[in-house]
Amino acid sequence: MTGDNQQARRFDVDFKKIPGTLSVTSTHIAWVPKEQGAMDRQNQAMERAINMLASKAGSKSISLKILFRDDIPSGGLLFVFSNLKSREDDRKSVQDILIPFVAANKNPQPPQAQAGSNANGNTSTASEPVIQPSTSAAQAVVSANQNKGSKRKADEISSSGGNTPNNVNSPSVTANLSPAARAQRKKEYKLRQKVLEKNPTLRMLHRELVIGKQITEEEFWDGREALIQAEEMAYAQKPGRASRLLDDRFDLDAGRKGKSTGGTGVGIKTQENGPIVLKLSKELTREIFEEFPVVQDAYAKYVPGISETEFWSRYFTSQLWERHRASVRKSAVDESSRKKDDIFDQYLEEPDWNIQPRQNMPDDVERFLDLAATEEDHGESITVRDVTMQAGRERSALPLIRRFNDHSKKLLRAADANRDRSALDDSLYGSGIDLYNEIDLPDLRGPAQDNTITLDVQEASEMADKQGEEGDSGVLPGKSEEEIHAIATESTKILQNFKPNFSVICLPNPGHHTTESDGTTEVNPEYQAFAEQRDAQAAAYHVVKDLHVRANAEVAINSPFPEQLHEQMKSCHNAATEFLRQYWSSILPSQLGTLGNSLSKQQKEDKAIKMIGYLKSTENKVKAIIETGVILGFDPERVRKAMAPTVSAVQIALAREAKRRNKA
Amino acid sequence: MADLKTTLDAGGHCVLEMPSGTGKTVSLLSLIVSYMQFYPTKRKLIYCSRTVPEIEKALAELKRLMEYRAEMGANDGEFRGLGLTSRRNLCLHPEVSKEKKGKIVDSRCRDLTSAFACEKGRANPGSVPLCSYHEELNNYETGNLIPPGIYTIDDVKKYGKEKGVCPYFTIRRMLPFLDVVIYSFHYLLDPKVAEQVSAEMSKESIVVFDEAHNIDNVCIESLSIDLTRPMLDSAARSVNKISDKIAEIKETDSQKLEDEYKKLVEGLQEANEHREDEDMMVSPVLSKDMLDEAVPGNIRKAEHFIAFLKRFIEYLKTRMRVLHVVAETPQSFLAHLKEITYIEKRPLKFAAERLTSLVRTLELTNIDEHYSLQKIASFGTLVATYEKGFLLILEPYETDHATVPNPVFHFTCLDPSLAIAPVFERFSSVVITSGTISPLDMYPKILQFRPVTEQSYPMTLTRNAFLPMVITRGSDQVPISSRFEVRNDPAVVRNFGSILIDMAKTVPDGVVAFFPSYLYMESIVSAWYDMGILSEVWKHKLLFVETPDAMETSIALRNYREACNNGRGAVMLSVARGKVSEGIDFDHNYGRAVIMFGIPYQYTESRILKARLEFLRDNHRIRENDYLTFDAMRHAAQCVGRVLRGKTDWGLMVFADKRFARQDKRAKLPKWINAYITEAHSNLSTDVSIALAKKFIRQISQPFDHTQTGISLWTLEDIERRQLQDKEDAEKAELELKQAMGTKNQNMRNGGQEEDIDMDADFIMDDYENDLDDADLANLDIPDNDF
Repeated sequence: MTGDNQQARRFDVDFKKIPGTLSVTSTHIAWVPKEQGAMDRQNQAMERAINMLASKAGSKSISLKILFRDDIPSGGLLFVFSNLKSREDDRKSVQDILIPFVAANKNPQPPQAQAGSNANGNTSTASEPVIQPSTSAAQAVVSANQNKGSKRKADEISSSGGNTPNNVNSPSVTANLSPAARAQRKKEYKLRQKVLEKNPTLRMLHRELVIGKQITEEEFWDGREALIQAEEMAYAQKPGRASRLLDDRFDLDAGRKGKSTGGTGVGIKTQENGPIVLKLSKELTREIFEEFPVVQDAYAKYVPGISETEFWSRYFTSQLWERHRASVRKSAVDESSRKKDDIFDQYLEEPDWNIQPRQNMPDDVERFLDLAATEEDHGESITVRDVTMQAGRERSALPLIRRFNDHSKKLLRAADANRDRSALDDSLYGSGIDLYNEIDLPDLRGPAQDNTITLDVQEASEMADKQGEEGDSGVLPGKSEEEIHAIATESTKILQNFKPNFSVICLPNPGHHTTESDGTTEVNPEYQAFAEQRDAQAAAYHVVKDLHVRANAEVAINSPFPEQLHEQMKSCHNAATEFLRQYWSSILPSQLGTLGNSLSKQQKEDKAIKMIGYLKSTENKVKAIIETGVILGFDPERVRKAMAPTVSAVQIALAREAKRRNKA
Repeated sequence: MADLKTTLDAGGHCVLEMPSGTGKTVSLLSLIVSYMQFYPTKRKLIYCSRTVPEIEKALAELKRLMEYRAEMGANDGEFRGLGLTSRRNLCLHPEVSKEKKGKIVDSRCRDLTSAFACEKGRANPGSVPLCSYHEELNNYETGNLIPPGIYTIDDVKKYGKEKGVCPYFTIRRMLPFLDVVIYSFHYLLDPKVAEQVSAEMSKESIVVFDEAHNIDNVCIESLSIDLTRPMLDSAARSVNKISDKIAEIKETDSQKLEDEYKKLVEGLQEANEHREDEDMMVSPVLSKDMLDEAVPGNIRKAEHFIAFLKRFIEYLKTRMRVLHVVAETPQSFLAHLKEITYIEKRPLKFAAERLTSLVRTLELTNIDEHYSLQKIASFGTLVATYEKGFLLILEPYETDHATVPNPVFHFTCLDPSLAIAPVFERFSSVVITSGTISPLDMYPKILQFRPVTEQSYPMTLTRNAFLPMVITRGSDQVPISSRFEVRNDPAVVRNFGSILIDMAKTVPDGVVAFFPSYLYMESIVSAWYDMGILSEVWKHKLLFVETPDAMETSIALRNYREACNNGRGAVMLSVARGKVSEGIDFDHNYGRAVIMFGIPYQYTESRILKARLEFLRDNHRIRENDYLTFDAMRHAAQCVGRVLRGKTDWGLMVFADKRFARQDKRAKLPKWINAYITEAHSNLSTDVSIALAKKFIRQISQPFDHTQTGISLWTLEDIERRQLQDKEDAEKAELELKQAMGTKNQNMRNGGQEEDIDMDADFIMDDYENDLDDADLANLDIPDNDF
């Protein structure tokens, strides 16, 4: 590939319906018309290519649109591959060459902003470069997909398929759809959009595949129904009552400015030396009514008489409000400053600060929570507890505490209200509580029935028999027990009697030679042995050292992948995975009870073939990435290794497909 | 179980600590029941628990156990088990049962069921209202008022409703025939009640005190009396009323008084026959010999007795006028009393008995009116009876700041062993057990008995089901503590608040928080509200707070549980030593985290506490500091232990106080908790602990194989294997011993075992001794006269 890169590759390409040659080098992409002077040449640096859009696979013409930085030339360049024999391969190889550059050049600009309007009706509908993941775009994609020669068929399916969401989207049907179905579809798109917003990776994939028009919107979502459903459920949840207490001293909405919900802090606000501004929302008044029924009472009685504004302003300046929100503690201080109010003052009552609650308590709590029973059981305490342990000494805190409990109870009831009215009954718990349930310790139960599924192997019994016959189990198959025993004892014996002779292992240096009495020198034979051993030692040392170095090299931390390369690898991998997912989902029998099994067999088959088509190109893409690696001066081997699992997964799919083809 | 059997065989007492939620109750019950059934002597089991819910649970366990035994083929034919509780909880009478106060229920019930009322009513139907439920009982055979079997309190009530009999008297009259009785401590410890209820229990009975960590306080409380000015006034009124009544009767029916006088000459014993129904009118002293003595002459006559009481009340009133604190012993009190009013010790001793007798003679109704008078009579009796281990304290002001005198005359018991001594004397086997009674040696010391066995059992867990953390600093690194000097510091209050907020954010379902005292909780709750902390909490969970009223709190608790169940999540704020901390379990989703704000020390300025500490120091050589810490830690452990029930349960335990980081504090926690506090988790700041909590929750929420077989659940084979192994080990050991020592000392093995246990105890003690340091005092909860 490296060599390839240096020289230009040429393809037969039409540009604005003028036949010409597209040459792609490692730095530039250029188009030269075949007819001299017929048209301006196009020459763009590779660095400027930021996006490319391919026409649908299988559409009438094979085109590729390349967008450049800053939108110059405006709308990008649309090339239509004209060599009838090899045009698909041509496009693929151009794409492969371009991928690294595009990926490298893509900057986080609002990518599709301008592109959508650039539909240039030059060729077939299929080449409409629709990018925005908006509803119209998706429709267009679908239409493009289904227009490719089998429009009628698609229509038939969708009209017969009625409400199945997969088919609703065909634009030809849209006109006939009931408003309800349309609303349904709209909702679904909204949901999809939401899901995408929540998952950036999914969004990336979506952009690459669907907007890159490699697969359709529907295909993309096929098998991801769970996500949509979850989103739908989350979306459908209605917020309950806010669990705050009404009090104007804390601006609870301070954190989320701009929201229009009536916060407790919004109720009344005294501006610095300014007039009192009241901001009341419907919800807030409802909340006040719920929290303080007396106010509702007063409202019902007086409001036709006095204006609503007056009612509320009087309420918020009344002692009643003061007591409501802050309990007695604060109001006691500035009691004198409060003016009398004839409406609300009659609702004032002594704060509920005695040990006994004013409200009558129901009598029948289940026995396990009945604290009063214990208290009675222990007899009247005849001693006085010390000061700190006397409950309710701080009288002013009691109404507050009571209000907390009451408020929480109301919230709880409010949440329950929608579910089951009968559950609200206070006396429900009086009896019928399961005694044993309270004392049961689940862990002291025996282990539950294991819910494993026995593997239903055909002819299992035979298999078992066979295994018995073969008798290939055991430590050393084929040896009798005695033999094994003998081996064992022998080995033990050897080990037991093992006495290393260190003098043999490590020889002393006997000296190179001895000088005999007659003056002749004679090479010492022992030295020979010593030398041999020394050399062997040195050799062994080298080997070990080498091993060590290598082993360490493996552990050594590699430099990280460059950002661009990593991005590309990720996108390539993601795309391949998505294709694989689509492929397998169309091949494998779908599980019962899963969502979205509406595709017919034929559709599945088509999809499988299409996916295989994509998968086939994966290898080239990987090569392209490796190429990029080389450009960036990164070890291509590592890229290859990193991508190996993806490639092998793709290969398995391909092999499987080949087999399937043969069978068919 | 083996330890328990040793104890039962040996006929002694024992102290056992078993972690909460490990099936403590059922293992105790099953062994004792089997034991009882195995030996034909039919020892009775008296099982005392602390609260009504616990009694009910124990009954349910027992019921289920008997069902299981029946399934397994055991023939328990006539086995009977019942639980006893107050009239208030059992009454079926359409009007009486509506009363909220136990005292009033008791008194009204007495009016309807007392012997003289019955006599009158039967003789002349319609003249006196009677309780039909009680009357119905007479149609049943004595000793067989209810079919054999186990009945929970609700069961008895249901049975009573069906048959139209009174559940309370059913149980009361069945007591001598029962095999298992389950009731609250007070029925055995409080002399006022005990003599009535528990007098017939045979000596052979096995007594179990479950949840006994607080037993010493119950003992003390049962022998202490506090008098206040309003009570004295009320008593004086009662005396006047009674004297009017006496005058009236004298005119109409002077014979009655004559009879009474004669009876009193013969001795109290006779006078007090047939008084099953009047257990609220009982002398607070348990002393047999006193009953046989004749009532002293000077109070035999009703008029004389009334005059005597008047004098006594007047004397107390004058004492109350003193505006400085007085502390004196009973002896000096009596001496002074004699000096001023010429009231002798002996008649005073009989005050309560005499009053009872008088009330019966006069056939008074609405006894609750005379409640104060009874108390004063009991007070007199107690003062005159006990000389040691008591102290009289007069506190003219409630707090040091108060300017309006509100005098309280405390007659306080300092020695818990006084109340429990009769129990240890009477019953051969007493088992004291709880999840948290560390250190074990403390209880024998303060209750003064010698246990045969003291054992603390560890907990075997297949995974770390709870994460104890000690938070010592807030996220801003300000140390947090409930020490008096700093507890109201805004920084500390805010940090406590932020712990609550963060926990509410992090932990699913229920969070329980405990404060050291009501006073502190009430002030901190308002402070939190003003700081906006509670509004934050509300964003995540609902908030419930313990209130002074028990019923109100029960309702709050029920709502709390509901919020935990429906996923809304809730926070419960309550007080250690309070109502909620005793007897309410926060298991599973009801309590995923428990936060202990501060150390629950007692109010150390309390004079009663000071006197008690002094007593402990002088008599048992327990240092003040030791006792305070011990007391605080057992309550902390009790609170924190509420969240664990069973091994599949999990929860966070947060100790938020810098003093928890100290070794001496932690060492006093039960072993099963202490073992899980790692050094790394013992000194955290809020943010770190939240991160840890998140990690823990994520980890613990993973699906986990809860099969415990082989780890903490043993199948029969496992046990047999273990037994075999133990036996082999034992044999081997014996063999070795023989080899080493010769055969002369066969019995060494038993001795050896006992030694082991003793050594354990010593070892624990050593631990404490080593970890003490003098800086402790500085850290204690000693307020500087701010109250």
